[in-house]
Amino acid sequence: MDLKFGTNNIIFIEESCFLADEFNQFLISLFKKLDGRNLTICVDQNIDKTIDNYKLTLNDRDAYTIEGFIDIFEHLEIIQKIDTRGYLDFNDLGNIIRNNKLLNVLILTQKESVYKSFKKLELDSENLALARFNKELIEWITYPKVGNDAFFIEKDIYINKVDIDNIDYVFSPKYGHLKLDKRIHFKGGEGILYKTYNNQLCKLYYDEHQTYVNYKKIEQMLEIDINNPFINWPKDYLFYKNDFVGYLMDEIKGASSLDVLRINMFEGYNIFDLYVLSYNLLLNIDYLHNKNILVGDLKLDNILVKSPVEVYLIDCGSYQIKDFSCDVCHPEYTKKVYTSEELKKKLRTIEDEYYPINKIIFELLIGKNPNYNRDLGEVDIENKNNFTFPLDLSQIKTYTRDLVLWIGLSERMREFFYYYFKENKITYLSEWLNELEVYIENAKAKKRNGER
Amino acid sequence: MNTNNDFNFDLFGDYKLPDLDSSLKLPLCLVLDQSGSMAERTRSSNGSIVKIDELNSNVEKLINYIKHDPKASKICDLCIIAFGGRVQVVTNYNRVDQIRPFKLVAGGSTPLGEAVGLAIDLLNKRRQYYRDNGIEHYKPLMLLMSDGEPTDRYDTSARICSEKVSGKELKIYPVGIGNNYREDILKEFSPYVNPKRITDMAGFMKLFELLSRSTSNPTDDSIDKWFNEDI
Repeated sequence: MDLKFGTNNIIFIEESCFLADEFNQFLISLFKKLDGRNLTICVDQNIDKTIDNYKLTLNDRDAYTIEGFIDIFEHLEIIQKIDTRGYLDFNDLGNIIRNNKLLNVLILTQKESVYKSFKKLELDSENLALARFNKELIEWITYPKVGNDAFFIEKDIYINKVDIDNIDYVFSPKYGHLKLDKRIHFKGGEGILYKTYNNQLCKLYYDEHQTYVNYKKIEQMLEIDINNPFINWPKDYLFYKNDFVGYLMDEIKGASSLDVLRINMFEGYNIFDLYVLSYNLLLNIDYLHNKNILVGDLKLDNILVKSPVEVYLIDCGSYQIKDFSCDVCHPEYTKKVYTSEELKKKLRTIEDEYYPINKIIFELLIGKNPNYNRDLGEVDIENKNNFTFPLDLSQIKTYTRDLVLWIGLSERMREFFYYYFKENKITYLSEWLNELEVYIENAKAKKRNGER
Repeated sequence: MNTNNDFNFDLFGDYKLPDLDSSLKLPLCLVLDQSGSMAERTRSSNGSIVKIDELNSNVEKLINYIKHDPKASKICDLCIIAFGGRVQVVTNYNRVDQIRPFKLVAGGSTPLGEAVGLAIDLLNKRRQYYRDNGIEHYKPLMLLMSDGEPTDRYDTSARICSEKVSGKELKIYPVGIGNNYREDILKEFSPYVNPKRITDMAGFMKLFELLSRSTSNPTDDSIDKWFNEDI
């Protein structure tokens, strides 16, 4: 990527660039190319806090690397700290660029979310470049945001339909014949769950879900290595007289559905527990995302909890893997409501998953639906941008319970929620996890010191 | 903890609000006809049923479903108003485990207008209670069932009800039982959803099964789809 330099130059560096391999060599060569021309290095206003947070979470290497760069820029007197609201709002930097057409600007970020936030400013400048760094500069490019096609067949002639109400046994290639305990069952959207031997559950699909696509999907799932005890991954296929009927999974005993916990107002959990629970839930979702798996139908009922550190993701047979879509959708947990037919043919994007992630974490930490209309008292699921919690805390006149909990969030968490629900700006899981970890460690330290 | 404000709250304290069993509610109101004609049989190709008996049996099943469903039992706030000769509040908004057993007895005229008017008054009061206590709620649901023509002035109630529905404050499901109900009048209460006619046991069962499903999953739209099926 070729860079243009003028008399006055600005480079905005998002903090994770400092941690990239060979970034220091890149800066040295850049300074040489600039050859005495004016340069300002812009960084986020809260970068010192970020360094402290790295130290707090014992990431000393990263902390001192970033600190080293900042010290050099300060020594050279070329640094300017800019308020970006935690990399979610670039209006301050945007105004500097708009007001000086002769300025040459390079925005360096490793994060797609930062790139997207910056693109939203729609700055019309020929002297502006956006890049990420991977041993060299790579220009950020906008790809059209369309979900890819899913594996789908119009006419399913490969699977014989089985009436699951009238069967007592199923066959698992790994575990042999399994008797279904028909006294207790749980009905879901795609099928029925029956208990069987050794703390295992059989999920038997209804007619319409006994499909070749689902058979191939379970086949793919069984080939993926999931080494996370909190993800209740399918263990084997299930057949009845050679016909595919569902899959086998472990039963999670002694756990409560997060949905039931939520309507019982998280009885037995204190606020700190809910931060720990949120952190552990996000860790598990992040584990899946790192394997390119999307939960798809992510909602409170598909999460079981034994304790704040034992948070299980269940109903994994519907997850989106490779080109197999998740064709289930709950209108309350989806920004754009799709029909089941649409979802059979199109894959969700990772961005789609961030609506339920934000909604669930918000409900855990604030105890209210993000679409809660404080004036009407109603959950307004038809208007998902109607977010009424303010960033400016001085606007709060009455300290209701939900607003007290809102104030209790860290400033960055409030920004994460606000910018997501109001402006669709995503904070990715890595940043969420980092922020929650810092919050939890701080709270523990305060408790040790006897503070509230 | 956030250091940018001096608001102090107990991070390690109890989360639960005092005197509330759930922070989330679904207000559901059944406005049910128990006029004299409900004691009659209605006939269809699937046989005949005594309307009031079928209604009693299905309302009981709905209450049992809500009672035993872990989510519905917590969130559903049920109100039942019956009209036959006079308007009777069988139960004001309440958790189903607080509702005492009852049986609707058919008799008298059909004061549908007064019944809906009362239902809206009680709903307004309930919503105010939610607001005062910081309880969030789903859009209120009203099931309006009648087998005949109103015998009172219903136009004001119909207009107010229709305005509430148009203003997205209420969802109404109008149901005509048998063959002698006034579809045009029920329609005046419901600007979006057309009245559904039920004439047999299967119709009653389907209606109450879908309504039960809505009490545990208020955003499930199966009941809306069923009402729109014949259109």
